[in-house]
Amino acid sequence: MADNTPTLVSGEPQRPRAQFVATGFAIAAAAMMIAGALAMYMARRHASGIHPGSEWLNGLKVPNPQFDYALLTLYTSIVTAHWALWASRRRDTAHAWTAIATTIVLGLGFVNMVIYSLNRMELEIGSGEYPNLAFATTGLSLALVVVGLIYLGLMGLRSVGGSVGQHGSTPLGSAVFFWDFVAVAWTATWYAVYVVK
Amino acid sequence: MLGIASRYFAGRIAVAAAAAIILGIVTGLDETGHVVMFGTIVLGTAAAAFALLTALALSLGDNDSIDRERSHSYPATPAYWPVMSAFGLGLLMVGLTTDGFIAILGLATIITASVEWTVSAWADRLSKDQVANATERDRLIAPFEIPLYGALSIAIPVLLISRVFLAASRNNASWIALGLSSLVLAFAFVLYAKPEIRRAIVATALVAAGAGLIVAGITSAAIGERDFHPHEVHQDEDIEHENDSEATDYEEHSQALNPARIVVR
Repeated sequence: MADNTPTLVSGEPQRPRAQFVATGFAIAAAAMMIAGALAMYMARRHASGIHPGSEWLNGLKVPNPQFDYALLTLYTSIVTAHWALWASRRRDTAHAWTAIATTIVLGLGFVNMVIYSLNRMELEIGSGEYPNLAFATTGLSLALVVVGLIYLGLMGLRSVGGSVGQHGSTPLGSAVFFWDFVAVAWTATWYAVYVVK
Repeated sequence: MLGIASRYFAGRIAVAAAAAIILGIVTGLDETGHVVMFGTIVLGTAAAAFALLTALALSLGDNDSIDRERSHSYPATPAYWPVMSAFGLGLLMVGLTTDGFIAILGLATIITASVEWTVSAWADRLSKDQVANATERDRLIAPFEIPLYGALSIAIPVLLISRVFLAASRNNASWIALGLSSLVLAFAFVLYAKPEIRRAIVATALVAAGAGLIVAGITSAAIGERDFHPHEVHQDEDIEHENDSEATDYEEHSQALNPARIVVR
């Protein structure tokens, strides 16, 4: 007797946005790193004397305009990064690649501006607690920016290879997600180290 | 209904937030205020990080079981990129403490390995046909790989052999050059005379030669370059420093004896 049981096609099991979730875990880990560094900075500043901060900078002057422009550059790069993701989801590859390239250029410009500002401050490692901690926290944030740039570049390469569209843009979306976190991390670092000081 | 991940991270938020609040309120900002500040910031950020993970779990629907039988897994092609990345990281670490050029080489190695690894990972998931995946990968990356690795396959042996020549004495460097070129010629002649020779033998010989070259190059670089003694030039300079007028006389005398001689000022 023939088996007349209808067979249903179940379809492929979904593994939705595994890279996005992994990036979320990486962000959580990096957030704890940044929090640890900034907490150490603020704790040492608090313990520096009866009037915290009075002798903390030891005569150093923070070039505020340069740091402000660096922050604006980073925020502009967030806009271009989301522009790349928006275009990639709509398979508008020309706009996506232009936006990725613009984001990377703005990111490199941001790194350049921050390093210029540090040189202008004439920070010297070993010359005091503030310079040491400022270098450590700023260096950690800059390292995250560089990691974010490399991540964006690599995922941009995947979009060049055809990974576009609503589903195919997940890798680029993950990189943009990390880039958003990088901007938040830098904002916290900038506010703690160069505004509150 | 909330999934396992959402409930787990929500619990973590509660624990971290409660710990931050209790630490801040109970201990207060007394003489150990900086320690409290440190703890509160770290615990507060932990709560925020778990909130992010909870939001991710909720937005991506973690209550659906996701391919737990691994029925949708793709076969991955074996690759050397992790090894290359680790090598680049080692180079970077060594370079940061010794020489900036080595650090740049390490960074370049890491970036190259990252690009290769990314493209390989992308290609592995295109389909379950590994041959088709490899073809697609080559279509994208081969135009970059061939010139890069072609240039490196020339530059690295040249660099390593130059270290050997610079470490050996002048005469020995000449003998080594003669020996090496004779070996290459003999190997090429054997390949020409015996085209049926097994590829495994040829590959083994090439790998052995490459390994020997790497060992010799690194050893020679560690030994350092031999001393160079441009005696004549130094003699002239010494005389020039002692007495300008005397040096002028010497220079004129030297030129009279040997007009082609170069005097460095």
